[in-house]
Amino acid sequence: MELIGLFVSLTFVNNVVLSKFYAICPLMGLSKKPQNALNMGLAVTFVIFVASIVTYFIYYYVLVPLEITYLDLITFILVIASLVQFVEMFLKKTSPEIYKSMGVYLPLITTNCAVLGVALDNISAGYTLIEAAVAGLAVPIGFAIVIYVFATIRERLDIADVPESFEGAPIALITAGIMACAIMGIAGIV
Amino acid sequence: MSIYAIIFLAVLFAVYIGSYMLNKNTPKPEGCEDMKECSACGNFACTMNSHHKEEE
Amino acid sequence: MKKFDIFKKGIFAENPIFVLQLGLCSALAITTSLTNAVGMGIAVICVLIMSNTIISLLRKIIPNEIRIPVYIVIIATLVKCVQMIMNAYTPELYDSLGVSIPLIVVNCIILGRAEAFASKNGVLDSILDALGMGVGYLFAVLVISFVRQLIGTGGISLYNPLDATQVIFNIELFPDYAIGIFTQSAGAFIALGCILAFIQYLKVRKAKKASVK
Repeated sequence: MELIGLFVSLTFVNNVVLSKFYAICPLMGLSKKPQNALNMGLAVTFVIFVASIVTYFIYYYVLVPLEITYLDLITFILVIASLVQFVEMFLKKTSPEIYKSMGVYLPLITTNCAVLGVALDNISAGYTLIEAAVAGLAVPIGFAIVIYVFATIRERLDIADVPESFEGAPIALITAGIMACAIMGIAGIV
Repeated sequence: MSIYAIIFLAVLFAVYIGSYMLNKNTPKPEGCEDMKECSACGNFACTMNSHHKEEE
Repeated sequence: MKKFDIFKKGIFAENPIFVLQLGLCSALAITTSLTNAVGMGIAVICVLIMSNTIISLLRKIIPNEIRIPVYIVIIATLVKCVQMIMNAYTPELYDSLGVSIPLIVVNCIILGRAEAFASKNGVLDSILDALGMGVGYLFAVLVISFVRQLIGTGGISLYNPLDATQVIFNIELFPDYAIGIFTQSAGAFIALGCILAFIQYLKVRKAKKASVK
């Protein structure tokens, strides 16, 4: 039950994009096709899930026993970066189909704040392994939902008559602001 | 203690460089060679960034 | 004169937040108060100057093939140093900035400048570029946090970033009419959206005037 609560709170209430501001760059820049947003969300979900488990093990079974926890930041970024390389290589060799749809977004994930942010948050919040795994699944699902919804809204915005000075990034940011208001409403329920 | 830190970092760095080079040398599967460039953002870490294309 | 141009372009023509729209994550997360903005701005300037200097010095040694991994390691090391220094000397600021400090590693501005400028130019030019970009970032977060704090709390206050008990100024203008949402996440998006719209308005007006002439 607590795990479900954690899942819901990380997916919606403390949504990575809208309340923690991780991963704004892909949100703002991603092309306006909802299908691309979904592919990006899938790629991010996979990387964050694996990264949060791997970094958990490395932190508690390597860094803590050796008393070198000050290396946490550099360890995490290197683990995430190598993980992304391995995933890309694996996809290239095994399934060209998936690579075709996701490949463009994989190199972006290394510097997606959300991946490093989840790894750091798991440690600073003192999660257990299972909680870290749940967080590693909940956070990217929240991210995927937001970028998908956002992409569909931006598709509509393209045909809308937006004032000249609000065209492009400003209206996108204000849309995100209104979505953040909606997320705040859910905070009252949970 | 610091010797462990140096060894650990060296191993991690080697793994990353190794995977980076391996990935770079793995040919892209058929039909993906001319994948459309993603103009998503100004993220320079991304190898799809237009900046990297100019040089090569 | 040319040296000054390198410095100046980071502040206005290529402002990392208002024009290039890089590193918006931290710019939105930490702009709840002027004090946080000053602290974060200084941290980013320090990391940017050091990373540009080191990468510019090593630009002929780093093999071209693996330059991005090397940059990431250099930047992560520098950020960790800044993080530890801030934890030791400015604990209050460190707590209120939280995860934003380690996330400087993945801030597009730092890696972007390393790749686009420091890897091709001399040390002095790279330092000037870093200084210009850093000051541009500081300027942008100050503007955003000024708007958010003024509307969100109805007043403006600035504490010494090194010592949170030392008040530099604290003006309360209209605390009864404050719009609280501007200190929360939704307000951050709306505030930045309106600021960007204002900048776009100025640009459009300038372009129209030029076309009339």
